[in-house]
Amino acid sequence: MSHGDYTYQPKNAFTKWLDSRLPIIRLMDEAMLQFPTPKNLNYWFTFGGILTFMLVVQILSGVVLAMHYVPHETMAFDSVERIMRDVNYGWLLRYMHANGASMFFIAVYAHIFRGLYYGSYKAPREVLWLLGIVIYLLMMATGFLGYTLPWGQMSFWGATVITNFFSAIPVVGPSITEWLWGSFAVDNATLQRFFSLHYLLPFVIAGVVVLHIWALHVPGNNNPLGIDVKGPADTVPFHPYYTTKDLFALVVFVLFFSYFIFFNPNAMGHTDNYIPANRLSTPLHIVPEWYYLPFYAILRSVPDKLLGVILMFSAILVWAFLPWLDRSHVRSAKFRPIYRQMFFILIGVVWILGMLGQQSPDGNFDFYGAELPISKVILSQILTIYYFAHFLLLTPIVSLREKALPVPESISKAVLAKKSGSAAVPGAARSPEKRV
Amino acid sequence: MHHRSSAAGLRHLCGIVPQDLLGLTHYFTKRIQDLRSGSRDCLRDDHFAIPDQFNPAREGALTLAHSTDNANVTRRDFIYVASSAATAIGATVALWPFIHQMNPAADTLALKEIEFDLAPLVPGQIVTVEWQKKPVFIRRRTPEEVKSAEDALMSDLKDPQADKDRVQRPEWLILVATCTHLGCIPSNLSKGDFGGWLCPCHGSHYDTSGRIRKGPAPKNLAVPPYAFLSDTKVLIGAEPKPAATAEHG
Ligand code: HEM
Ligand code: FES
Repeated sequence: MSHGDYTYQPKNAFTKWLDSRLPIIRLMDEAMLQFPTPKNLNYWFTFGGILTFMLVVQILSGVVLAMHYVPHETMAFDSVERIMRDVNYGWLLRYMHANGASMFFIAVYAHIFRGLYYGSYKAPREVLWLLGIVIYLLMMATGFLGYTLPWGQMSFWGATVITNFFSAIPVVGPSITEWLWGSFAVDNATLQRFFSLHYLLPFVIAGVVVLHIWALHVPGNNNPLGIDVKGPADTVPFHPYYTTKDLFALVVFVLFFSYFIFFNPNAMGHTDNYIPANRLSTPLHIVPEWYYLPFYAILRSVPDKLLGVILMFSAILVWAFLPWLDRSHVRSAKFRPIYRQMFFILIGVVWILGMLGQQSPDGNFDFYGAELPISKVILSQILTIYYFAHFLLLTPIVSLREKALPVPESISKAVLAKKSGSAAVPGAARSPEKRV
Repeated sequence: MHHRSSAAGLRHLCGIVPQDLLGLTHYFTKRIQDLRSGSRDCLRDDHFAIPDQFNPAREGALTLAHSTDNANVTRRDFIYVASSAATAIGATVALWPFIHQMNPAADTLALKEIEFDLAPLVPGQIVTVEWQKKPVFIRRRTPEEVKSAEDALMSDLKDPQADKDRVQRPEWLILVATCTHLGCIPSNLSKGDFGGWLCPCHGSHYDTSGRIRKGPAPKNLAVPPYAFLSDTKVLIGAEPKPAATAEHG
């Protein structure tokens, strides 16, 4: 997709010299400034930029935490407490990192559900979608490994439960778990390797992010209407239009992030993690970090160990098949009345699964303080079935049967029709790109 | 040895059975060339034959050192296939130390034994001790607990095993306290529906023999190796002395 006749022109002697040796400014210019972007992107499309920012925040804060953190079972907990009390601004760095992980996941969930709503996973963006799933899985792994590092009770027992997932594998399962632990239980060897991998994986993520953006720049952005860009009238250059929009969204997001860092830093953590790890006592109620809860509920809904673990992993892997399960040629849920409802129901189901994952496994479901007359086990089973049915049954069937609403002819036409309906500012540039 | 005629019989297999290293190299080089050029024509004659200059049966066959540019298989092809094979095998072999380093190290493996004094335990009491980084339950069972463990019907058990096969002396139940579901320690305080243990994590119920009765755990709590040193001393981690097992064996 080229935008008009514009190409990068090095302006001074140095950039000319560099351009004929390493055309890196040209690459940046074409990918980040000039890149033609649909003119109708809304704020749901700003999370990609926010995610990139959060990855940088996690890497920076992590690298400096690692200057003070000691990955040893006898010292890890104390070294984190020392970071909190004695290291200059240590509390800030740790709260940035711990809450940063949560913010990262809030952004990634917004980003993923955005994709589900606007059909961004469909052709020609399947590879982009698959790379996104890879990033998400790596984030899950990184977050889990990091949560082990402070070596509190939740760290230790969370690591125990999660590494034991692998013991469900028939025959070789127990050897695999001992291999993961480097011992007969979660141990110092486990902590040290988790630290090593926790340091490594974010850089692997950064690598996959580059591929993800590359795969984005081949077909270009999807957009809220889900229709293809038909020509230059449908797009604006990324800079200054979307750099500004992304920056504004980022500032709002950072305000939200700052609220947690400065006013409620432990809201998303668990108090038990301020108790040093004790291998002889399991906390009465183990919960993973909030971002894993829906999957944890799926795991617990199944009375069979192996099947539970398989279903839990499948709950994410099923996303990978979505581009082929959804047969509808209309991308955006805006024009798909039934899929649109399914989308909101799915959000509700995932939310309630998350609540179930948070609660202890027995008894009746507690809905914000009100005890509903349904057992948690049954409810989580129903919702787990619905979750899989959404992807494997409803999505394909609805995508074949549903009668989509008429889709606008072009992005430009739809945008202008909307604008002329409202009070248009006289003289306002309707096609700002034409001024170039 | 006539390659052409023996190859003809194998045409439907789309290849020949190479008879020596050179033939093998030739074969793979051809296959690779086919793949590259997208040729599906595997019946072309020269795919089956060893070119004359390399066929040792022919007069004037070249040795490797004398291969010429117009030969089908060049010395470069040979080096290419041989070095790729060496690299692939080398990489696979080198991978193993990188994998194996993660397995428990020698010091971790060194079987540690712990001695435990049973005298202070009153009937019904359970203590948790640490052995090989794992929690271990030592439970002094009451006669009723022993009876309920022994009376359990095999058909009611998810992982059937008789109580007598799980203890050396009925009064003393010694178990690895790791829930066979996902590794939490079952609770001593809430004994569950079967008088044994209830795992707080996902609700597995164990009976007074530590056998799984209800919930997601697939197996009974494991019995570690141990030996009674005397009536009041037990060595956990030691192989049981024949005398000790003979008592109930
Ligand atoms: C994808 C990016 C990352 C995510 C999602 C992430 C997540 C986490 C989480 C959830 C914790 C536990 C925080 C707590 O409760 O205290 C943690 C701890 C830690 N992380 Fe990261 N992390 C990331 C990148 C990094 C990087 C690149 C480093 C570089 C070395 C790093 C170093 C550390 C250290 C030293 C700790 C222990 C200190 C502490 O617990 O606060 N992290 N990480
Ligand atoms: S770990 Fe015990 S029931 Fe899951």
